[in-house]
Amino acid sequence: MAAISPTMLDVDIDNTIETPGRRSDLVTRNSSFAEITDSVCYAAESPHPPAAWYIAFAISTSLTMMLGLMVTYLLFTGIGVWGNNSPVFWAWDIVNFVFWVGIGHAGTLISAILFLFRQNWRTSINRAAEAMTIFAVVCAGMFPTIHVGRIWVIYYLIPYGPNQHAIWPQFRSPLLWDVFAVSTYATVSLLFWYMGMIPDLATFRDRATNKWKHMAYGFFSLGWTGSARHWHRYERAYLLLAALATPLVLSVHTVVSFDFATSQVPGWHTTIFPPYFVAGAIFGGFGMVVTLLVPARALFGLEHLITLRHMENMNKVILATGTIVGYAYAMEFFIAWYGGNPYEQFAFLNRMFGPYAWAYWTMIACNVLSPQVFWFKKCRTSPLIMWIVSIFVNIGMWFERFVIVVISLSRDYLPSSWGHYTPTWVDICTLIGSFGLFTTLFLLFCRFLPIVAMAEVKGVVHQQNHLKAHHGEEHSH
Amino acid sequence: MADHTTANDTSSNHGHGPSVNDPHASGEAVAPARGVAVAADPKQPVAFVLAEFGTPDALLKAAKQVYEQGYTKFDAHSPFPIHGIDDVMGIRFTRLPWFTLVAGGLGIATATALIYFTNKEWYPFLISGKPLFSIPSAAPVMFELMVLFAAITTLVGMLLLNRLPFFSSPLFQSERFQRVTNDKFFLSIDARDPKYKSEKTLNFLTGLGADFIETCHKEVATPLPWAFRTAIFLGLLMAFIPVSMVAWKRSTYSRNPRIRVIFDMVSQPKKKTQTTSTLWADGRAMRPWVVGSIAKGELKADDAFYRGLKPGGANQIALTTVSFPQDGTPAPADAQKPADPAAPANQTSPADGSGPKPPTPVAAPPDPLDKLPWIEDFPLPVTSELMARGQERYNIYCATCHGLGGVGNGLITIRAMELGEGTWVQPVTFHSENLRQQPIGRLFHSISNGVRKMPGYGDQIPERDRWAILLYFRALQKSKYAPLSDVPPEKVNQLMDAVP
Repeated sequence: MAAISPTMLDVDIDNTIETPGRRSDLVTRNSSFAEITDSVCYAAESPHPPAAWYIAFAISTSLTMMLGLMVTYLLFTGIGVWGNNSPVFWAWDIVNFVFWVGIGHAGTLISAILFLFRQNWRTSINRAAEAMTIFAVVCAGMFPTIHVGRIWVIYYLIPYGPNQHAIWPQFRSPLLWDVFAVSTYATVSLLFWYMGMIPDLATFRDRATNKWKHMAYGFFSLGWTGSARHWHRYERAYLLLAALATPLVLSVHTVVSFDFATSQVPGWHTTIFPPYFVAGAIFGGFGMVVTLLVPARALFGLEHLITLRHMENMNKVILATGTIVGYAYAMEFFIAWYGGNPYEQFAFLNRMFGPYAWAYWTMIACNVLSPQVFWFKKCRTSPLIMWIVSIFVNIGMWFERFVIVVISLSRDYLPSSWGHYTPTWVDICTLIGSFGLFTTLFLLFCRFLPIVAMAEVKGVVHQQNHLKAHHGEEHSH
Repeated sequence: MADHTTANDTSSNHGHGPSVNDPHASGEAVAPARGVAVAADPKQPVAFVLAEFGTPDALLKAAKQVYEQGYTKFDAHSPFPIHGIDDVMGIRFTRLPWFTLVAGGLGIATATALIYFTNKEWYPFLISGKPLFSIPSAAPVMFELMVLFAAITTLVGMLLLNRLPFFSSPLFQSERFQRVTNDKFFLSIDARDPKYKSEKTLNFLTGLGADFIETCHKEVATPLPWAFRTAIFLGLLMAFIPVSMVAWKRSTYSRNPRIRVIFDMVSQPKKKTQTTSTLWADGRAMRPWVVGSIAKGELKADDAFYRGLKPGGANQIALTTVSFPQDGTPAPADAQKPADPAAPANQTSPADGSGPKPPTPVAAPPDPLDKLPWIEDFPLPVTSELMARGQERYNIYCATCHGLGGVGNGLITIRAMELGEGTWVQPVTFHSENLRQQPIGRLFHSISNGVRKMPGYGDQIPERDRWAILLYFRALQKSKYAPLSDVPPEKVNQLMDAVP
């Protein structure tokens, strides 16, 4: 595979083969800089997107409209339209919140943590993953917002200046930490995403074929000229943001887990929650990245940029984090037994054999068992299999939150206070609608914004060429 | 792929047409590498000289030479950051990290101050005895605000240091320069550079091996059309309207009720009690009961069951609610202004030592209740279930004061006596002659409406349960005076065993 010549331009390299002593190619076609630009811009510049895009967009916008109706109905009628009851005060709304906010973590992990670790393969997928983060946080933020019911007084959560009531939020509550954590996370993710996009928006600006596009992309690219002096500060800023986002992403799901861990409900009151939640979030997030990128790379012809090796790497992360999550399930169970607290022991037996046992076993099957197929290279590199497994991971991670939130609440200490939770049709339609919102935003992103960080990929390709030149691989030339 | 010839590959269908080549330019430029184009209006003075290169390495070499020649106002432009170019161009390390550091510290300080003042000073609110301010519970918010402040400062600081946004660079006149974000590499020398001399600089750039050289000219400032300017001015002006409205409303008082955009539960479209209404002549929103009407389930016609009085006689209710002034009877000295006329508080008993001392130990002033026709028998079938119910209810409601045996030694009484509570009156024993003789209806009245210091329990205990309690009350009384012959023979031994 070292023998690459310009005549072989269209032949894709299999970069999933491990060659000892050298790094695999990050781009599988002998791409020039212009070719990379053309491939990435194609999705936004082609006069018509593929038919599949239209179909997906029609479905997802319909679901988004359904979500709008559900939220309107909820706000005009009250939380009673959901299945939430006493004692299950937190139900699907909080399950969905934790699910979506967890999804976001993969994006920040790819863009920030892998950046700090100099994992160059992140460049092809970080833009889409960050976009996914933003859209997932949008969906996540919606749920606690509508969960308050009286959305018009939600500003009570914010310590704001002209305070007529002379009351202030209570900073010892993890729920308030959550307000700060999630809103900071949303803001920083957005800044990081936007800053990374400025050079690529400038590319779109310079290639714009009509005045309006030129103005819009020109406005958001802020007059970027690719100046070396600008790049210097830009790269420094990017590194700083990555260094800030790395502890941030770990803190967000930690704080989300505090919502549960600082309470006394059996099944919630455990110290394993922060690392367990973070691992689960990365696991679920990578699942969602794979779910989105497998169709997206095929649809927009980006297989040579978002290569099978990228997908394989993500599947390895899914396997690793899925196994961590499995370990956490086992450890929770062990501690419940070892701790000798009868309520804790009951809570875990109830998860396995109680009225919601089906949810628990769905979670185990999807989260612990299904990623195990990724031990096999054939499964790691097959788009179909990885797509199916990623769907299972999404389902499993949703059920994990259901198991934690609903099962624990429905049976706590006093049997006289036990209850049972059943979702209403509004619950179900709201969840489905949130997927519609997420998909709509992602499809719009694919159509109007650079899906791949062109500038970063070009930089990596340039480095790769340099390395090859130094290794004297041009003999074939 | 080893060399970088592919980067020169103009496979992109986008880019430059021959129209860019301005014939006038040849007079100004000197021996260009492949041609010199002049963008925009060549009559304007030159702002930049722009040289195009095909590869990053060529740009790197050229930038190095330009720097070594002593140029200071020059720049390299590339689609991606070229590593090592900072050094050859003499770019000093940015101050940006210091901005980030300061902003992060400011974030922590803000969070600390916010939590300290809101939770400890302005609105102290004790929760589970936890300290009003402590570092561990403040740490998450301190961390989040640190990251938030630092991140925003990093982005804004980067843009400000780069003097962005800046939309109208003369470089944008060049159509070739559009490929700086795609696959071409450029070097620009500012005409304001002290070393800049038009011909010399152009010659120098040509010698660097640029693929193409052109000049960008100063832009003629075109003011915005007046309609735009007016619109922007009006827009800014109107933006102040809501702000000043809010400021005005906040600083003035109004007698009108608050405008409710959204109706919370506090305001419901209905008339509440004690409010006015124009619908009826009396102006009240509440409607009085129609005279003579009785609410469902409130008839309570059975005098014996509901009031303990013998049936017959009109309006027996009035008999039990008789009040002294109406009777013309002088109130006894110990009758301290009964709060409820339905509960006349002066049933006499031997334990009551107050009032004028009567010649006989039993009852001095005549009690109007004595004259009422109380029933002597239970108005419902007496069963062992009723007895069990009565025992249970008695132990719940009565035993706390009266004691389990009815001698007036309940836990509350004992405690009150220990404390020497002057206001506490010990309940009388059930086993006094007076109480043993009292008709059952009268006792029912006492439970229902209270007696002396004892409040009425009519609101808490339903009638049937009151009768059940009375049944158990009678059993307690019986237990103190029963002869052995009353005990069933098979229970006698059991009873004897219990005696110590």
